Amino acid sequence: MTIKFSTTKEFSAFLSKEFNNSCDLKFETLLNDILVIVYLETVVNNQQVEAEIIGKLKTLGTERNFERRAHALTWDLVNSLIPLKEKSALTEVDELITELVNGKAIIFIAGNPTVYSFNTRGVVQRQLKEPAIERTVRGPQVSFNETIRDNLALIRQGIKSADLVLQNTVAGTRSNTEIIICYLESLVNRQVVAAVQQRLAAFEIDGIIDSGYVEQLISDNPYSVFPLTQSTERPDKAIMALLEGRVVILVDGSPQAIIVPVTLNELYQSPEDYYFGLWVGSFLRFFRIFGNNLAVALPGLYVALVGVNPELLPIRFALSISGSRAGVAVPLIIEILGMEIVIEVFREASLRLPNSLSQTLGVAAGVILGTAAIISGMVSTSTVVVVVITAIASFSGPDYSISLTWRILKFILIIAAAFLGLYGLTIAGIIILTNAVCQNSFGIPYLAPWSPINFRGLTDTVMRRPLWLRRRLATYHPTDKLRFQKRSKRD
Amino acid sequence: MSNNPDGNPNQPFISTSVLVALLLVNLLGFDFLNEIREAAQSSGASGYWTIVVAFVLFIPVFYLIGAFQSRFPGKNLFEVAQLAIGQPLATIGNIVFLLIFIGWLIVAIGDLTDLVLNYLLNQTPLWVVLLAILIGIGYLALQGLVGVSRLASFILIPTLLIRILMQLFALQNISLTHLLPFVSSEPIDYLIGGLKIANVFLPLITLFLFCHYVEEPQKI
Repeated sequence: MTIKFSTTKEFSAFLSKEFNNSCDLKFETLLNDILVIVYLETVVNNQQVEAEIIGKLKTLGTERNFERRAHALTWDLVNSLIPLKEKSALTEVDELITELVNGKAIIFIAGNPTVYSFNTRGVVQRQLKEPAIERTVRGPQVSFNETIRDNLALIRQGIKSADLVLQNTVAGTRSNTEIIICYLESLVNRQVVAAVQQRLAAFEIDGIIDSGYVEQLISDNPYSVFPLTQSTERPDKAIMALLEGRVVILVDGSPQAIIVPVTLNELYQSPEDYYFGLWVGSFLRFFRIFGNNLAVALPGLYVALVGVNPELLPIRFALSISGSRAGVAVPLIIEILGMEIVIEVFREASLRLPNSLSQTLGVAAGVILGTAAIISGMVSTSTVVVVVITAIASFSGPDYSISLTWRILKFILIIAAAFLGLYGLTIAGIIILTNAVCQNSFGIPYLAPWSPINFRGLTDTVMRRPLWLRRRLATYHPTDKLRFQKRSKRD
Repeated sequence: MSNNPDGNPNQPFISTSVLVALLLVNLLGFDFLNEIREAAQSSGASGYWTIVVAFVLFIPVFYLIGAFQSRFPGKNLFEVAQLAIGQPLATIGNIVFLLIFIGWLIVAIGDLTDLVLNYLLNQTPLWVVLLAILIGIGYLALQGLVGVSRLASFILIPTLLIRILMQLFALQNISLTHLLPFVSSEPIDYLIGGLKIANVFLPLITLFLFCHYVEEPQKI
């Protein structure tokens, strides 16, 4: 629908109706109803609108003989008065509404088929803060926030190159959420970019509230328990991903960027691995992976070895554990499942508790309840040790999504181990592994470089890869394979 | 694997490296404890020669596989049979082959089930153990060739490490004198031993079954 309004009253009435008389839609009529300024006061910078649009245009009205030359009010005159650079001319009503909800101020001159929008966006935003989830000892201590422009600025600061491509799109028929795809033109696998664009265009949803929505909608397999995209709150991680030839997706209103494609191996890597030296980085990564494996397998292994196949344990160890369980009234499976469920409840509760209380209550719950449970004969000391090690080890990985996945799968392993011991654990493990190896993330096998085996890729798995290796890893099929070269002394 | 971002994960194409992994895992994983016992029983301390004999016995099979592959490129065992000996005979031959193959799998599953029942779950009913393994195999089969070969590729290195460790632990009481009698048994014993453990190379038939699914390496 084109803009065809002869008077400012008609124009204002139309917009009021479109916005259902919304209380934040403001109209400022000037120059004897010749001109109207429209904006949504909740999404604009009100001071800017007042000073740089309304204030400037009011100066026209102070001229005594203006009414006599009202016909002389032209866009050139209006534009010359308003100092804002970012503006656009609109002729369609749909465009006009989109601009309004995006924080633009609209100027309409009676009878004119074109309106102008000026960028006066002023969103509620929080300051850049330290990462809350992906914390590191070394490296940048800043995380993304909910404002997409701030997040883009953080990425631009990291990659000061014209090679960085930013493509924007809008998703959400009602939320009109801006989504920006970032990649390095000379590095990225074009097939991945095309797949991202295609998948983003393939759905229609009423609203996108967080990047988590987009993750699920563009995933290769939304029913998979494994995270097939990577989310991060760290700009340095996003920049590293871009330098590997991957694609970063930013969603307005979300402090988490999405990185695709991803492999399981990638989810165990922290930027910190590369900030420390080769051996320290590798040491940290090794124990991170070890901790995560412990968190997944330990309860199942404990149930299998203590509950079903104790003959496989050294005799003294088996007797010691049996001794600790002597007074426990419930079967081992009930004991460990009960403890794991309680730990999950504690974990969720501690997230909702105020910061000042959570630590104190956590210690109180852990120490008092743990001791009481042992004394009352509800659980054994060895079970408490296993459950606590599992709970702590589950936080050793840098990616929260994959630790959630393992937390779910851990229960399957416990149940399989309770029924069939080591044999059940093996069968369940094979089924889980088979499911994992069959996943793909934007065409990249999820368990690469382990499966299919890529020996060069294996140099960056349990151990960290030296920075000074010449070639970039081929896992994500980057188009530019050269990553590092020594300058000759003459240079 | 295909690098098509929207490719079907179950497309019947695997890379050469994955095929090699599949073969190695088959060879490493198949009945490896039993074969060593058989070798020692038939040829004593120098039973390791039976593995060489078994390999020699399998050379004609490998030659046949190679010859058929070069004569009928891109064809699997069943298709080759149809082209080589005609439809009616090939149908019978393929059914016989499948029956033997399935029989061999049943024996392998039976061995595994016995092992589990004897050493791990001696109070568990047989049908439960069988059901569990069939669920595992069924799920694996549902994922198709890509799933199976990727799993093989993933477990190759751990399997290899475990195998090496087992061999090292098994060698802890060995002395040089155990290895010195290079030919301590009669030649006929080596032949019988070789025949007994020849099935350790049977997984190499996989090469023939899956070779035509190998995808040419893609360049970007």
